[in-house]
Amino acid sequence: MISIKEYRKAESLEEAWELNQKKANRIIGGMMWLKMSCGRVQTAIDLSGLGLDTIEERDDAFVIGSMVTLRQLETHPGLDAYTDGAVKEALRHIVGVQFRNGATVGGSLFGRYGFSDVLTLFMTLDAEVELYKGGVIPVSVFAEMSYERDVLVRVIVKKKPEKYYYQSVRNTDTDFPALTCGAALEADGSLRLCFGARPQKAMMLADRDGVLDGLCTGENIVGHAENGAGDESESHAGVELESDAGTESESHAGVEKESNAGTESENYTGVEPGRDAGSESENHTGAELKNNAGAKPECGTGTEAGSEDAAMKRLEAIGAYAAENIPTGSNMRGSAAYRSKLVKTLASRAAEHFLTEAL
Amino acid sequence: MKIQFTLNGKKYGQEIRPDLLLIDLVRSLGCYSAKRGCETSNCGLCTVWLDGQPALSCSVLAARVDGREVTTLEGLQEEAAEFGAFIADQGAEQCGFCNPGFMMNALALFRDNEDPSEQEIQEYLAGNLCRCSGYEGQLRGMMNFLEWRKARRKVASEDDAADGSLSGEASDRTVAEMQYSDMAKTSAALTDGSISDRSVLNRTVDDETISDRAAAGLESGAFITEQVRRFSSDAVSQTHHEKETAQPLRTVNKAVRKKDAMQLLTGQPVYTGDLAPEDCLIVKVLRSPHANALIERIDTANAMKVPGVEVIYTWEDIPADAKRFTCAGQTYPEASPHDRLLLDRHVRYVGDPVAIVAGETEKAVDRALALIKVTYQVLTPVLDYHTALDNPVLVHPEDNWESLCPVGADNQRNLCAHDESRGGDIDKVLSECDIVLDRTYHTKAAQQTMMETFRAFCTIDAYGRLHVTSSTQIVFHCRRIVAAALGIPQSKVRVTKPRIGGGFGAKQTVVAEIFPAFVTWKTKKPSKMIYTREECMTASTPRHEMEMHVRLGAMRDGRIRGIDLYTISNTGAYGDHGPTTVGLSGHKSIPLYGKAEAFRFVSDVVYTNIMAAGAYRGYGATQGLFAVESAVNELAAELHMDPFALREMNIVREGDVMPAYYGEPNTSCALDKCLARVKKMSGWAEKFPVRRLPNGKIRAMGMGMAMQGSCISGMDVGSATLKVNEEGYYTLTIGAADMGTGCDTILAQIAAQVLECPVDAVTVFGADTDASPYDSGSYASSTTFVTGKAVEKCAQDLRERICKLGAKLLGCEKEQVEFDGGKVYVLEEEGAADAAGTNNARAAMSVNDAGAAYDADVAVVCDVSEQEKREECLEDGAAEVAEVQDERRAVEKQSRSVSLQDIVIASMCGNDIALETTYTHSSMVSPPPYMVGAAEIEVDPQTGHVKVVDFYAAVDCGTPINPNLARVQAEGGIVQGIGMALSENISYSADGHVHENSLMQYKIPARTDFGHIHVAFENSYEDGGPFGAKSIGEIVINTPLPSIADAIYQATGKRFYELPILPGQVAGE
Repeated sequence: MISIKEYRKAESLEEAWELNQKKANRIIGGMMWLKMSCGRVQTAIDLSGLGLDTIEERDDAFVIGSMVTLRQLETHPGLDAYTDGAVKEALRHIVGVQFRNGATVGGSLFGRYGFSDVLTLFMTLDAEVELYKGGVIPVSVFAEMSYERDVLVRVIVKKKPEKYYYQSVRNTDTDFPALTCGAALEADGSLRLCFGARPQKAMMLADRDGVLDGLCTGENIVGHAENGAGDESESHAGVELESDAGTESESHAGVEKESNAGTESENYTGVEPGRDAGSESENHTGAELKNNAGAKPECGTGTEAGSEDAAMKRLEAIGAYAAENIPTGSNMRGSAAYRSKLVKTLASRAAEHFLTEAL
Repeated sequence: MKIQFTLNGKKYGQEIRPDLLLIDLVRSLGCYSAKRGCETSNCGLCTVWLDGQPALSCSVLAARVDGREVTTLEGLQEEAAEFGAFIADQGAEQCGFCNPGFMMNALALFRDNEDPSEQEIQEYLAGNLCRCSGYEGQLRGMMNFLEWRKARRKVASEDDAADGSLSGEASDRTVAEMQYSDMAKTSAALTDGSISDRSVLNRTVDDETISDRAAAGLESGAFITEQVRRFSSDAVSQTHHEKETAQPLRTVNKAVRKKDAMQLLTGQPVYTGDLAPEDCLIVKVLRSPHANALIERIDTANAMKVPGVEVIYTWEDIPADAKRFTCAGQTYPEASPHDRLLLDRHVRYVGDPVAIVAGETEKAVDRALALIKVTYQVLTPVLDYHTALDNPVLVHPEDNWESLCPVGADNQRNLCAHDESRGGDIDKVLSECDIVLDRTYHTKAAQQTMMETFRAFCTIDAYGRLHVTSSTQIVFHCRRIVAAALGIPQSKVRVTKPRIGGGFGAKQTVVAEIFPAFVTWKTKKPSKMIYTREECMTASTPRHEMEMHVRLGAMRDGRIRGIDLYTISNTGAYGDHGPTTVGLSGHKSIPLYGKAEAFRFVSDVVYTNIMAAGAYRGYGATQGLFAVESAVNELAAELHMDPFALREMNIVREGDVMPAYYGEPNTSCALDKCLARVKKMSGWAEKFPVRRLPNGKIRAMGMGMAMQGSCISGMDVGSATLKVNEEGYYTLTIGAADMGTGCDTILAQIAAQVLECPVDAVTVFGADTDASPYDSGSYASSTTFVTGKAVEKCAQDLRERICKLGAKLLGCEKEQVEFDGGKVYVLEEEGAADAAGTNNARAAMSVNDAGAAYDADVAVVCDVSEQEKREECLEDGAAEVAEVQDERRAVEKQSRSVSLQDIVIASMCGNDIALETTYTHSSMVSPPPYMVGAAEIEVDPQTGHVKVVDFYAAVDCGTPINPNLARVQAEGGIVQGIGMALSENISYSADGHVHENSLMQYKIPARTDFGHIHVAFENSYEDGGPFGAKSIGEIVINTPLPSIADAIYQATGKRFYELPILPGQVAGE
């Protein structure tokens, strides 16, 4: 249990920042899990007097104060409508209503925890954080930054003509996720995917090969599908089949080293490094999409059998590409191989979701 | 620092520490309803309102409530009573420890949302963990409350539209009527097992039967009974009993509220932690970081310097000749080996106590713990139970290790127990079988996870004796163990238990008590120890990990001819319950297959350097049934037979002798009916084995059977003391422990049935080693069966005594009189007595009835103020009393009778016939309850996620004494079984640390983790039990395990031989 010598309700951001420069001091967000840490804090800095507990909807953006609770975020009608329910879906599994009434956006984001639905969500939305000294930077950049002693003031979600979809897989309904997946359908019909709880912190899928391009744009639905049938998905399928256990386990092992470095996620999720990556990779290679009943897009009736087939292949290709390019690791909630399978499944499902909607 | 805030409407200015948490602040101000169930913000027990919004008070800095408004359940008493009544009507409050948090959140939802859907309710309550109820009773109560609230509002708005002056009365009546109809429906629903689905709530009750409110009020009990009868097609035991005895079941087999329900639901301070004196020393222990080590040096000097630290004890403070003891709460001489010391130089698992620290504040104690310097000689641990037997590393090498019973234990072999039993020639039979399935199953440990962690406080009483107040299921065993640990005579120790926040077997082991006991005995100062959740998860008494090797032999036609079972059980560092749990893995699984010609059951229990195991609901049967039932399910698949059909061919029947069950006869058994019932209610014929849903998910079915015992044959002792008091009410004193299950109420129901009085006329006291008659305690499923029978016989004996004194007063022989609950009358004047009897009984009962009617009214709290209602009821009652008393006087002139009140008054003057009696009961047999369960699961084959959508169960517990409480037992047990099957994992690091050390990592099912539980009762009638009852507490956890495992096989084609089955495994190949 944390011990606190002094409590200070900051009267200005400057004061909060000033206090926060001392290593022994600490900003408290919602408190929540902070109480579990064993440290001794000289001064607990409370931001709750700075009016940072509101969500402001502007014409072009949502401006979310760092002291806004997860529950406020979850129940905000504007955000709900704008994100097609993705915000609610991302937050509703987090422990319980009472917990979400306490946990704050700032506290959840600042830690950049591996398990964080909140980080996955905002990264998917291409949101920005406003740091008191560091200025406005994209969440994806913030996620990779070191733990500087700045003050997170706001989160800004710029409105874009996009569609969103959020999924997570959990061993139990209110557990930490085994994997999170945020998806955005961009204006041009391209897909953007973000994966968190890998168990390392969320990251965007870098689409170097244009695999996610033009998923849902008019003729492209068919065009891309045909394209995929022609070369793309074949090549990906090939890659998938060719990828031997050796390479896979290497990549997993690499990931685990990374997870060891991420102390924050160890603290909170009890990340358990060092499972037998080799044998899990074997599992993984054997774990092709055997049960793919779930991956069928519901566009069958009106369309030709050929294009349905092509769409299927496109979805599989997206899944395979994501699984290849998103590193995963093991902890008590699942092995690296299981997570890679989830990456594949959730990526396909996200694509399928938008495809189905588009049709 | 100083803060100003409002707590329950009252303004406070308070000087606080900056790191004080809100929960500790409100508790320090007397709001004990806020409870702590974890340290990780997971349980929801501490929920309060902060500016009207539910918040976790364990996670809010008190400093932050400056200028804000805090509300605890203490500030919502009216709402709590109003809504709580609906939970009480389901018996869903159970131990009550999670209730304040649940109530606060539910009340917040009700304010937030006028008409929440079931889905919304479930999601809103996902953060309120409950381990007893399985959440279903809570949900029913909430749905009923909302329905009632809607109706009330409708009536109110209609009244507003109509004549204002009459509206109050009109709405009263409607609401009252609604309530009674609700109660009737609920009672009916609970008695009639078929109505486990929610549709019953919509069933209409004949409105004419409740046309008059006063009449309904006064006769509500009878009215409900009537309704229950009308609906209950399944009251087999009732008809059986009534046929046998020509006596109606009036209080037994009735869904009465738990006696403590409203106290628990309104958050009263009735638990150990609430009752501890303010000035208690805080006791904590330093725990070993090593799995196996010797303490070389221990330096407490710096730690002792911390201001506020009172004492620190180490192994050096334990006398060198101290005798070892066991912490298992068992009948002496315990089967569990005596292998513990209060503090030992040899520490045997990560978490074993190294030093005891007591101080004035938690902070001081924590500081001191950090300052104790220990030098260990680290030894190689034995962590794998496969290699434990005859391992050169011995967990208990010491000379003074002692096994008091012939259980085959040998500490020089790491062997805690070994046993073999057989019937027939198993090798020959298996060699003749067409098919022999040879499979190995593994169940990991599992945590009971009662919401109230282990805790006790100790004081020195006026006689200089040690008084231990503990959350324990076993006061008498606890007294023995504490005395042994301290090396003092038992006469110096008194143990009492207040309300218990759940046990499930965990509190059948003495876990925390010995530490504060030692501190208080030494210092003569009050002390308390409250286990953290982390301690509960790492240094407690989980289920024994077991590996079971099954060989199941059958013929092609499905005839099961033999079962050969070898179980290896991992008892961990100490042997608590080790020798006894393992037996149930065979003796309570093999006998289900009554047609088998041979069996063999061999078991080894081994010591390892992990946390010691203990008693957990099911007690070995759970593990064994997972193995045997899974094997039988696999056999069904191999033979292409329906699992039900295979069971129907092979099950044990009433009247069979069960060789694998110690040769006991199967005296009562409705297992066949349970099979038929579950098959029907689950829609098995249409649903088995799988259906693929359009969304790619797979629905699948799986089933399993179970049996358990109803006591430990020839060993468990139950006792009851009954006395009748002035005004004619009874006091029942017991040594059994109500740990939330409702045994206080159930035992009172039994007494009331015999004494022909309302349940409210029996108060219950227990358990207290100084005052209670000896009872082995609440475990082994024995309370209803053994203690219940003791209560029945005790009440009969008290009847005799009442008759004896009555006869004396009437100037005749005892044989010439009869007692009807209200009076003793002379039998010979039959005609007159009949008339008089009826009237006098009415007179005697009417006061009680008025009270009961009032209580029934409270159940429904409506618009009328309680006071008004009470007056109304009492007026009605009083009028009737007066009228009937007149009548009685008139009749008494003709007939010869004397009222109970008069008998009691006479007993207090010049009397030598005690109107108090104690009865002790023990049973040479342990008639098994039976159960069949079927799981309907939904599997996402790609993510591996498995959700139990519906679970169907039929239970044969003989006569359910209280169908409400029996049902909630079943629901709660089933949900624990679901957790054990799908999410509750205990794993160890390479050096013996438990990974799942909190509720954040050890995942018990939350409300949203499953769909619905449907429970039906198929009652046999057990002559050896009170009114035909057998046990129910343990059996209910068993069937989900094999059912879910087989359903997963049906869905995915993968067989799982180990629990829990996690999504990653289901998704993998």
